[in-house]
Amino acid sequence: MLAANELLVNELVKIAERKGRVLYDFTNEVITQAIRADKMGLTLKEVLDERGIVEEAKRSGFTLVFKRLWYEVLDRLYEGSEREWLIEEWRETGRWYGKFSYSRSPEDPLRALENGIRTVMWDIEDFELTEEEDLISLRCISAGFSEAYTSLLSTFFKGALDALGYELVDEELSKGIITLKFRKKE
Amino acid sequence: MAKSSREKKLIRVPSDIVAKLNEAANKAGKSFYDYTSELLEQALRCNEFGRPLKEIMDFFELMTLQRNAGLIITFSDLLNYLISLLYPKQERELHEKWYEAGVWYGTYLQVKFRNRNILDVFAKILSESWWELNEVNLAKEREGFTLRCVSFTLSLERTKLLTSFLEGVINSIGYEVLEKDCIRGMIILHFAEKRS
Repeated sequence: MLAANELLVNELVKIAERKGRVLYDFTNEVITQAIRADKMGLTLKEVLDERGIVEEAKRSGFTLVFKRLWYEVLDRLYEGSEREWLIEEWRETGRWYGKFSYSRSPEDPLRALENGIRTVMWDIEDFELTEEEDLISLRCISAGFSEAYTSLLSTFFKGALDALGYELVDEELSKGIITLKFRKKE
Repeated sequence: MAKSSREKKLIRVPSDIVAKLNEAANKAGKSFYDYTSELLEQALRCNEFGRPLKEIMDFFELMTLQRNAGLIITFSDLLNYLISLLYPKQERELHEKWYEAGVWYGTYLQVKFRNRNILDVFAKILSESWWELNEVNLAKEREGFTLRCVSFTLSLERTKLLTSFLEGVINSIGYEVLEKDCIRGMIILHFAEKRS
């Protein structure tokens, strides 16, 4: 037997009934899956948080692509005559993502942006968005980025923050490392 | 009067599961009661997705597999646009790259799923995690297999490149493509086991 909050148990009973199952089976399944998540070094909450964001990304027109093919396409275009087009496309996509983050969470779009990027952009090893007084600092690190991708991703971030009402005040870029600082537009 | 949320109820669960839960709670540094309460709260949240928890965990594992295979999530429109810029100038090179990625991916699946039917595994992965494919169907036919993929969003260029990728996978797992048909958003590949 295990003791649980009565209100929680009542809700679980309702769900189990709706699914035509008994509470015993339903609870067992939940716990079995939680233990499965635990073995992967995760909590059920983390799995569900990620599922929510990935599901939304899937619905919103994101796709899966091989990292090396993606970088290859970007590098080839960046080296060619399409560089300006490419930069503009990334800025626009960034703006779109900024607005998308706002629509997901109008009360805290910066956190939505940060969580979305951390969950969806699997090639980023370290990403942080911090607020200090009137400055927003963005740090993004990944050893695998090419120079072209570093530059394009930084353009994407600038577009996203621009859409959320921030202007760039400082920028430092080196291959695989992006550091940007923003201030609220007046 | 509404009942206090601190009141408790007992739920019957097998003793081996209680032991595993206890172990997990200890590992997380939480009391058994707090740990199970959090877990049951998440189970309620799971209902919002309209899918069983097992399916959510299966999907998570599949995404982890894809991430480990070197896939990333990106913007479909942007990818379509960029490929449309590059394709007219570098068609052959792009097909080679996509084919090579397919060969690599097929080999990866063989290593990962040694004791499984790779063709079935691949068809399942395609249908569940190649998001832009609306339909994936693998059928056994007299002299081999037919793989049909349908997408309502793929551009012509990306459909063609996906065909090269699929050919790469199919060849690397011991089959050869006998016939292919590719139009925008639709791929039909007929293939059979390689003759030694």
